Amino acid sequence: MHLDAFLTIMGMSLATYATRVLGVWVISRLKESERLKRSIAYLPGSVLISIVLPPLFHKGASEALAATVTLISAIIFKNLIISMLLGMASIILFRGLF
Amino acid sequence: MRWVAFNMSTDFKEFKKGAKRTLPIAFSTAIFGLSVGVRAQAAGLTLTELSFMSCLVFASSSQAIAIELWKLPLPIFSIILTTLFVNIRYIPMGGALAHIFNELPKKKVFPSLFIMSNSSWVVTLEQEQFNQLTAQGHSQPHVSLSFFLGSAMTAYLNWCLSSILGYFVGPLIPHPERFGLDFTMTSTFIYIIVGTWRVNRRLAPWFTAAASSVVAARLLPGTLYIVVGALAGCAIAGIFDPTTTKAGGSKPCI
Repeated sequence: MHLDAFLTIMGMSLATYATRVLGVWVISRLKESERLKRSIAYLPGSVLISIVLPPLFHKGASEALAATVTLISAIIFKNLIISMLLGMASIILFRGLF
Repeated sequence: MRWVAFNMSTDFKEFKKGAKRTLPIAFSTAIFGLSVGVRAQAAGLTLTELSFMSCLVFASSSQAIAIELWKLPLPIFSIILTTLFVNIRYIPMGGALAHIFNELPKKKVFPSLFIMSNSSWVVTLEQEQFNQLTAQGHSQPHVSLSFFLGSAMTAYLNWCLSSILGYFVGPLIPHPERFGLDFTMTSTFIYIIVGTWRVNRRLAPWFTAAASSVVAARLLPGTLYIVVGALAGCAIAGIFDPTTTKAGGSKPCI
């Protein structure tokens, strides 16, 4: 392996590890008041919705519709495997249609 | 009491449980891994370079993009900066798990975080929700480090092996989108959203996170939009805290 390839991969590794550690480190160092706790309680939800929603706007109708099917099935069945299978089935169907 | 901390059978059970819970989404990781291997081979990376990258970086999208940028002479700085932007989502994601890791020794937590990815993050979050709903008054409601490691290790090995396999069998693999397997990660996230909503039912933080991340995705590079959405959601949850509307003792924290 060439030196520049090695350095690139090392740099990628370090940058990625820094992001993995930083959030845990920062949040665990905060002095927690009750109010801050209730605020941080919304971190998982805020992250999740921010991961899922924006890409749906770029990817088109098939993804958006399949996401809706998955959402409804998750509410009704409360079962991960069922939601995943219905999501898969609907994305195949909608990609075939559009 | 020493033996309690090193209770191998409990730890191993937890490890296995974490591994098992990761299997359903392991397919989407494997498909992504295969396609990254295929593209690495086509882009002229050596097998050593790809293996090194998969084992040391272990971050799917950022590797796919780095491979797209992999042209000699290597744009070292752009590749590293792009990697940072694509993976910056791990900062708020890690923050969301901080309350689990908080009670564990830092010496164990920080090395373990090296192999945190989308899969182990979402699996751990789901298990945490499950524990909180079922173990009322239980002494240890949090997910154990062994569970997290079981999940993370499964995803890690899966990623390294599938991307290396892709390097060899590349041309034989048809487009993975055809099978809808690329959607399994999204559907897992959506499923967890429903579970999270059952615990956190205030509309304003959700709506703020949703709106701000959608807008930020159009303006900012990489996954910075996830950071924006996470901060905005928490900020609104803190600022409009319904339980401290009267001028009480607590000061605004954000």
